[in-house]
Amino acid sequence: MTLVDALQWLGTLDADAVLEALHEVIDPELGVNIVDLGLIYHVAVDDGVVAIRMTLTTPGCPLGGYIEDEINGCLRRFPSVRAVTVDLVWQPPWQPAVMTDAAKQQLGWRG
Amino acid sequence: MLVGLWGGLARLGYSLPADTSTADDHGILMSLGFLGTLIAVERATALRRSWAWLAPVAAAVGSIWLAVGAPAVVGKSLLLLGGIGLTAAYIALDRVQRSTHNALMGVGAVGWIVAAALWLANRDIALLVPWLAVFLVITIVAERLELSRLLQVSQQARLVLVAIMAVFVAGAIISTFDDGAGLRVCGAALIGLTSWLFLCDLARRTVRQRGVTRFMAVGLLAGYGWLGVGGALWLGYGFHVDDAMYDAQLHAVFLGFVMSMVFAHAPVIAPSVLRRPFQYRPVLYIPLALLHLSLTVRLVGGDALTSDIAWRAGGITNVIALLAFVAGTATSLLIVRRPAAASSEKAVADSGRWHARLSTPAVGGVAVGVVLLAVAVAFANSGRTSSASDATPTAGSAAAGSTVGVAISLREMRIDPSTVTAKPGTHLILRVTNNGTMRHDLRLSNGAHTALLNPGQTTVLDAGVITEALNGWCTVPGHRAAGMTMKVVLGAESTSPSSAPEATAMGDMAGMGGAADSTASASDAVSSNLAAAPPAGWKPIDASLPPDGASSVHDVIWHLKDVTMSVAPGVTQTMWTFDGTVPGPVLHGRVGDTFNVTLVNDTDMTHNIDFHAEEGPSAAVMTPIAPGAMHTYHFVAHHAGAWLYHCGTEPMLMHMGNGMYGALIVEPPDLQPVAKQFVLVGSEVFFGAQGGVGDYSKMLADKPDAVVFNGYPFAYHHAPLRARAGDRIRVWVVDAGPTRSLAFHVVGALFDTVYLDGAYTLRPGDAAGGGAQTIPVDPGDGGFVELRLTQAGAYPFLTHAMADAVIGAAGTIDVSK
Repeated sequence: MTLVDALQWLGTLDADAVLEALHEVIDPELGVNIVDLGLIYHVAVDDGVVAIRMTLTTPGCPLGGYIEDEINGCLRRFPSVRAVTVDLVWQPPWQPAVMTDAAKQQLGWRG
Repeated sequence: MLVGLWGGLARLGYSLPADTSTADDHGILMSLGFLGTLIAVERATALRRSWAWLAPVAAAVGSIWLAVGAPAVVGKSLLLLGGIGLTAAYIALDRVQRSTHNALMGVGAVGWIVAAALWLANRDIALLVPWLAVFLVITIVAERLELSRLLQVSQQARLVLVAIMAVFVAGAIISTFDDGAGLRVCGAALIGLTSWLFLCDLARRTVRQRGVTRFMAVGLLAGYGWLGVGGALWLGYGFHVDDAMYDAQLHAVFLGFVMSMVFAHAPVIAPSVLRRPFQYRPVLYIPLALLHLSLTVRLVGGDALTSDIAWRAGGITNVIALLAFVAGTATSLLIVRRPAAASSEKAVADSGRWHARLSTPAVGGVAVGVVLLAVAVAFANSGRTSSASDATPTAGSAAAGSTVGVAISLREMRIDPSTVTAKPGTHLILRVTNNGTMRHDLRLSNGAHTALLNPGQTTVLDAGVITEALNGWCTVPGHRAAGMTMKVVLGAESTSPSSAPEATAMGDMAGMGGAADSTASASDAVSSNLAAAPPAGWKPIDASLPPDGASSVHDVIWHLKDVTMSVAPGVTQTMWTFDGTVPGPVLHGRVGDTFNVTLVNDTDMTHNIDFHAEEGPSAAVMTPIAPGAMHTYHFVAHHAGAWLYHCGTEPMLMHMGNGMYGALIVEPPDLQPVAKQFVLVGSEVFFGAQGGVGDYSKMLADKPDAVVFNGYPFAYHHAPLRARAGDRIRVWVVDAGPTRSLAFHVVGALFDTVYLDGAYTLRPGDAAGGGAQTIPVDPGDGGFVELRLTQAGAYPFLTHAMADAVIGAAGTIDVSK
């Protein structure tokens, strides 16, 4: 039983659990999940409504819709999730520095 | 709205095979219409503002407009508007978040604008190519630059990439003025981009991942390979038009690189734009592999090794690859991702909004749109295919009884495609565009023909219902023999030349007749006796050269005109002339003199003039003069000699062989006065049909009917040159060819002065006691001799190439006491 399955089974959800779950949403071009990429700025859970504030690496990227759908699909598996809102923001701009070490390692950064 | 757009795009494509203009247009419609729409859709999707959809809608509507044959200016303007809209989208994105890569994509969009504007201005399609490449290549590479931020790529490396892109854009700008050099610069930049991408790009790393990420990386890396191939071909070979190299140069970049990028990104972009769940499946590797294999076969087997079968197989498989890919993508889009097994009914209910998007009409619409788009891509590609030797624009699609449109491009000296395959019973409509620089037309052996088309002009030719193989050609004299031919072959027949029976040439066209197909056509005029008396009214060209006047500036106005004249006893031809005579008037001056020669073109054909005494690139100094136009050529004669001038318009052999040449005499400074000077211009005459123009096939075969001095066989037997005994006379000899050399000789005399190649090789009182018997004058060359004939009597002169002398290259100098 994976962590997500366990959480789903428990029916409980908080922001950390959402973040954990969002590790399943992969940027298909990079093969790296959106959390480790540092795209997720803020997660709030209030009475089953998940509000996510996030960015993309560039505003010209057309993947916003795709990633929103993936997030929806991922989170709606939780029985306790009643709604998901995704707010795409451009401030502050995304920078490579916000990537986690795991993402950097996956992308071949050294040192 | 998306469905409508995609469906619209598909309709664009669906109508392509039936109506679209030239094969070249397919390239632009693919680049701006299809890919431009896709890229603009991506930006509009990202920007999430309604006005941003103006760009893709304008591009799509403009393409459809052009595809259905509506007035091109509107369609091209819409495409231009699309480019402007996309640029505006980048400006808006810049305000959201400023970045180098976004600015560069803006530069790419400006490439779109330039290409569309050039197209709107009816500039040569080939000029657009670098700008189409700027649009697509810069857009794609800028995206890779963006993604490079995710890697440990140094700032310097990124600057290098930006610099290479700047070189690429500079190459495109140069290409507008010098297409060869510009394309080479672009090619060098492409190689630079390729090297950078292989060294630094993300794909290098993500190819080690799994699933769709790996698929994308493989597609990207394969595309980079083609970018390098394209760069090498551009750098190594520069500018080509409509040959195998052109095919390779274009398709390496636009199919190999660009389409591979589309393949790579589609699994990500399609679901994002369409908001449809997408199930990546490894089966997508099959069309990807097909694309690259077939392109390899096409370029290596078809273009490099000139195998028709490889070229054709490669081209068709290109199409199949694109079709298969679109089909694969569509299938993946239709696979609905199931919610996790443990999902409750509530989850299903909650995801209603999501599932609502899967409503049957929407899915059906998308599916139909995508499939039609595949057809569009396929035909757009096969249309492009027809630009080379064995077009198959109708292959497999033209059911008997259907109407099929094929674009035909006329230019010097070819017709593209050279073969059109049509099933028997097909109603064939040709859209004929003159992409050349002179006037052309197209006539088919079933009698259908266009009017003479001006450069840039397009017309529609109804070829009728095809029941038999047909030949087609340009009727402008010389053009057919020079290669402006095409044929319509039936259905599954092979395209070997024998499959299209040669049309009966007799009466095909004035003058040229069918002579093009054999060295001596039965329709050619014949002179039973070249030495017979010329017809009444015939006057020889006055060979005497009066002393040069005092003026150092020579202003002349000549009319270019077609003159029907006797060229031999019993033979009348329509000669193309400088000011009404063959050869043209003699220009005469001294070293340092200025010549201002105004030509008024009274013919219906483009001509120009090439003064051998003038220096400069032909594009700058040999200005073509369109029918009805005039032009003044200015030059200073810096060097002495007996120079040839001639028309330098292609086919030059035809223009020279039909009378467009003359002599330009520039006296050396120390020239001694003589009693008499003569100018003799040697040339060959090729009889075409009586009253028509010369037979080009004879010119090609070096089979003249007569070889003459000053335009007429034995002219100066009939009207001898005259001199007095003991006079020193000077004979200037120029050989206009077009092909044979002269060995000028005077029977019973020898020369004490010879001036050849800009220098005296013999002067009077030669210390070694030397004398000269003949002077060799090659085609395009000239010189003079001096001699004294001390005894009265008749002195024959001739070319000592005797076979030429007996067919006219001989005359007489009558020396009186």
